[in-house]
Amino acid sequence: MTIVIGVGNDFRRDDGAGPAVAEALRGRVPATLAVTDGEPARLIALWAGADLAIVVDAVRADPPEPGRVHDLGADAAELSARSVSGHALGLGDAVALGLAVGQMPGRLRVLAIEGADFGFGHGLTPRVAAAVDAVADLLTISLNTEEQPMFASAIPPAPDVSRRQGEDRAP
Amino acid sequence: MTHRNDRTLKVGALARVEGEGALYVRARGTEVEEVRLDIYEPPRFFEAFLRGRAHTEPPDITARICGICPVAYQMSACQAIEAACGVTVDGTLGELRRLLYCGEWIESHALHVYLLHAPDFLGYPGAVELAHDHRAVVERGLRLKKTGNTLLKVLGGREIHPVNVRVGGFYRTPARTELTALTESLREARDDALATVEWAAGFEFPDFTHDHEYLALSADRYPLEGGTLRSSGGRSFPAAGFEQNIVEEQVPHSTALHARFADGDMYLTGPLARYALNRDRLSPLALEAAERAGLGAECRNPFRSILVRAVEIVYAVDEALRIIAGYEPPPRPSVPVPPREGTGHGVTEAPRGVLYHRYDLGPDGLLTGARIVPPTSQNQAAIEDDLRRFVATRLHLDDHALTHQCEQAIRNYDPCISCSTHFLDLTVDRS
Repeated sequence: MTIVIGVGNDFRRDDGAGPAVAEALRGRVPATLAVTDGEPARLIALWAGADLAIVVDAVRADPPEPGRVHDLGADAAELSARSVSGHALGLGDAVALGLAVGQMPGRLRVLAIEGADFGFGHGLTPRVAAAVDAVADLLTISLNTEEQPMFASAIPPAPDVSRRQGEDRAP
Repeated sequence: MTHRNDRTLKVGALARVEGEGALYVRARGTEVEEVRLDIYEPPRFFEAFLRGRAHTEPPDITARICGICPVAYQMSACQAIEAACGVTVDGTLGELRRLLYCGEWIESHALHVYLLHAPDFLGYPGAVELAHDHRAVVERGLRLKKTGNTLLKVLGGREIHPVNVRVGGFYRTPARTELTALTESLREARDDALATVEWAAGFEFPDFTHDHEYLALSADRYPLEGGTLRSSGGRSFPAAGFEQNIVEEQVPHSTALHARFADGDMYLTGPLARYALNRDRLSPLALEAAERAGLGAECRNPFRSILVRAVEIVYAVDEALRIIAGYEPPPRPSVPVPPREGTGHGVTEAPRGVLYHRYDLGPDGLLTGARIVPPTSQNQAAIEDDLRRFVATRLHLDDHALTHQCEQAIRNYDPCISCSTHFLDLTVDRS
């Protein structure tokens, strides 16, 4: 079983990139589609037992390049060690917890889309919307064939990617 | 370090999505001069942008206030609007609402007990480290949480911000088989919940008690989706009397309003209050678990609130099984709620305590006013009071140990700002 999990809040502008990808894949891929908020227990419940789980999430990066896609690959141990979130339970914790309790998918792939605007409101900024289409197209090919296209910017992944909420630290 | 005269503990970031807060403690000698639980999350103006909306919209809009307890917002909103329109939703639809609420309690309490609170008592920095040494325990917590999630999904349409709740009932009610399919996992959850109580009863709890006035709903059953407000001090008033009995005041360090009784007394809401005021309405199984865990008629040690939450998980699972066993699909998924001019009030028991909503409807059925009082802001004064007294007895500790114990004391209340408290940075200001 393959599952694509869009993580994010579609009322926080570009944070809705992950859910938008899940929506764009509807009817196009032989995979379960899910949307969640990134809370680790929910993520684990979604991906446990899957052969392949693809998590699509919005991130901030420094220096920023909105719309850039980071293919964080499948090295769960590396993901768990990465400080994906600044001071909260985030994707890195979900991976660490999933590993600790043996509830990981067979393979995990994380696609992180750099966002520009995480303010209140609906709708993606243009470059992020284009990235959502690109990721959806890529996953449509990848999940319907044996091909595994990667994003150019994926190698090597930027070292300083952090999940969006991680940026919400105190002034 | 501990003999400095002036000490200031600052914890800069208590939080992330569900709220943002910080802790500030200032001590001089052996005196605690100031304790502030700062909530600096930007105000979100829900009450303002609800104005002008249709009377059918608050359940969906206010559910967005919280990703952990959206059902609580939906239930208080529905109750208030229905009260304004003179409609009562009861019978099977009322039971289904209660069942949905049970799902949220199970999920929210399991998250707090296992992933956020338990590591404090067992000496781990977080749930991941706990899982390394006690895998089966954390698996049990995840299993419980998943059972709660599944209830939300089956009844609410999805796990986060359910979409199946409407004023008057539901958009769609489940077939009997959809609910009975959950029975097996709920039975397993009942065993897991009982094991949770037993496990938590073995923790070592700091010796600390408070004497806050407790405020909770009271009803003929353990309170979730309605009832009369009662306090351990003998107060009693209906939802409609909330604003006469409780006032909110602004404090400079918080974007959340502080709530107090109108006569100035502070109070505490949440599991400790519910338990103290409704213990005799627990199911026999939950009551037995409470007794075995050594919980008396009331619990005055906030650190032991983890035990009360565990008992409430037993209750919620038990209650869910009871409702499902007796379920027959109702003739229609909702009752009509035609709007009319007026004001309605709703109070339900969110996992963290009393959640109050009020809506004013104009002659055209559109909202002209809204008021929402969540549990965390009601508890803020009591939490600060606890911290003040708690810190005073522990000033001999170094900053690191003291800060850790303060964080633990805050987590006792599972405030909506709790999800990140394992990641606090401490700044010591040596004045």
